Amino acid sequence: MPTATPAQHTLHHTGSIVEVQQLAPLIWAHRCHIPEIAASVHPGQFVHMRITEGSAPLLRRPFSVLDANPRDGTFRILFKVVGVGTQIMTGFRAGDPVDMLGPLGSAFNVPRANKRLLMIAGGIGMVPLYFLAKKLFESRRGIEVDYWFGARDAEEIYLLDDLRQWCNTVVPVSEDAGFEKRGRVTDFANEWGSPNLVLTCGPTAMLREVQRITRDMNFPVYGALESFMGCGLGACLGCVLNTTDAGYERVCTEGPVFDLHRLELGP
Amino acid sequence: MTAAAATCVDLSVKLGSLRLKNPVTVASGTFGYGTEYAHVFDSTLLGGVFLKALTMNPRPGNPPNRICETSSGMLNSIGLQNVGIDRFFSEKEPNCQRIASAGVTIFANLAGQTIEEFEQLIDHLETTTAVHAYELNVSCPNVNKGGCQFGQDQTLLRELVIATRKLTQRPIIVKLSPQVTDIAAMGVLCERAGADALSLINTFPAMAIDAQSRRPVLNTIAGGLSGPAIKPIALRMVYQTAQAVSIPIIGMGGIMNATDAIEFLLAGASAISSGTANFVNPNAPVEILRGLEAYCIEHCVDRVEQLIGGLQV
Repeated sequence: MPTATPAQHTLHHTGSIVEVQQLAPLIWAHRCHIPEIAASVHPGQFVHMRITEGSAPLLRRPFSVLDANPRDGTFRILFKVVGVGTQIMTGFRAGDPVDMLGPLGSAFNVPRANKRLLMIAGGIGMVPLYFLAKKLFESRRGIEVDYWFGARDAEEIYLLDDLRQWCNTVVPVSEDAGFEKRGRVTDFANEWGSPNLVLTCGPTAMLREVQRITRDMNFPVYGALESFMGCGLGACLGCVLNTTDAGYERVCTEGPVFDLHRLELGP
Repeated sequence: MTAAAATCVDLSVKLGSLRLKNPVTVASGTFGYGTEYAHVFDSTLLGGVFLKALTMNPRPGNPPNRICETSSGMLNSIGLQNVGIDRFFSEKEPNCQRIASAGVTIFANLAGQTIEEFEQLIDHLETTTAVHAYELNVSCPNVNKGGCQFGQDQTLLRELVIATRKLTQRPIIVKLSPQVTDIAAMGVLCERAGADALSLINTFPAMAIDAQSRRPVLNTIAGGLSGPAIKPIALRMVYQTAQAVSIPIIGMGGIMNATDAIEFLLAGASAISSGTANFVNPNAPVEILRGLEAYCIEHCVDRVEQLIGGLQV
């Protein structure tokens, strides 16, 4: 019997947590040390993480990557505490082992010709767009980014100082009175200007609005989507979304980044 | 594990006219057509691969949400999404051929809605050497017609097994539904109709509700429950059926590790499938295989077949 897994099978990794940050009451960022992922992950891609050795919760959980540092082999995931899995993750400490598949899925692609980008983030949908804004800034391609960051409460808007370093403008919007702009990020579409390309991530209700608005304004738009997920590798067909032109597509494999205008996001 | 130790245990098992190089297989629907896990482990290590269900025409599957987590388990309602037989041959068959040529036994899972569709599928698949046996999927809980109807209707099931048995020299395996009063009786019925082996169990019809939204979590309301939550029931069903039939059984239902796999062998299964475990730990089949071998060495078992039905009651 063969005794070793061939070296080319490189998506399944173990590593460790190196830093735990709490950014807001329900928002946490964990820095993980897995050099293979840090070296190869692109904005929009995700890791599929085992939460416990036991069976509660049983399935892995997908997390979009917040940023990566290939030099020290680390990257961060950011999450909001919403259920039993993320609650357990708040107990993780530096030094704890992690078991992750990744990087998985498709990444945001910004063609050379696009010099003016609009990013529309909702809640923890800020994660892949934060990573993308950082990468574009570091690429020195002279791309101007307007980053709109919406959330229900002002305390769920964070990391603004980082974003301000990298973006042309950063506009926080919350439904409470925490910022100058009060409401939902899609309420301010008339201030979005004329981007070459719109990139978005957030709750489905927001994506549906972004889809409608960008269709009306004739802006191309790509979004990073989420779904309940099984294997993360394309086998179980559990995480599909419906497209207008190709039937069901897998969030884990064809996505999570999709041309938003191809998706059926429901009523 | 040392190389010397590795040669001590005969891991191969007999399954009807087939001999699997080891008893560890992956359950249909959890492993695609063998390519999806290529970047995680070497699937040529497996004893067998049960391919994703096939139908004559492509099936789009069910609308999302299709899966959700439950206590120590998960629900799925994929709805037999598959590429259909023509695209199986153009897109998937070459990789099956590659795995088969490495000594892995390939089981095509057939999900006809009628006896005629099962017959057509076998007619097509007889033309490839990449498939060694047929698993009749008569127990999918997630489609409106076919599927479960066969698995729960004794007359239909007998007709199906007799009809398909005539068409091929390859083994016919029936995947039984747990949604019956007496699963052992269904196994006996299949054996008498000519089945060469049985797979059990498929998932249990089950549901989950989101109390916040007051809506079902799955779009289809109910789906199939799998994972550790069903293991004790699966084990009992394998044990009871093994007592009643003389054809081999492929045991499955919440097998997560080598210990679980050994329990199924002791209960009477000749081979086992991991399913939900593959999602949790994609390396699970290989870890099960290595753990099984280590158990045999530790317990002075020369041939893994000595464990089959070895429960001491």
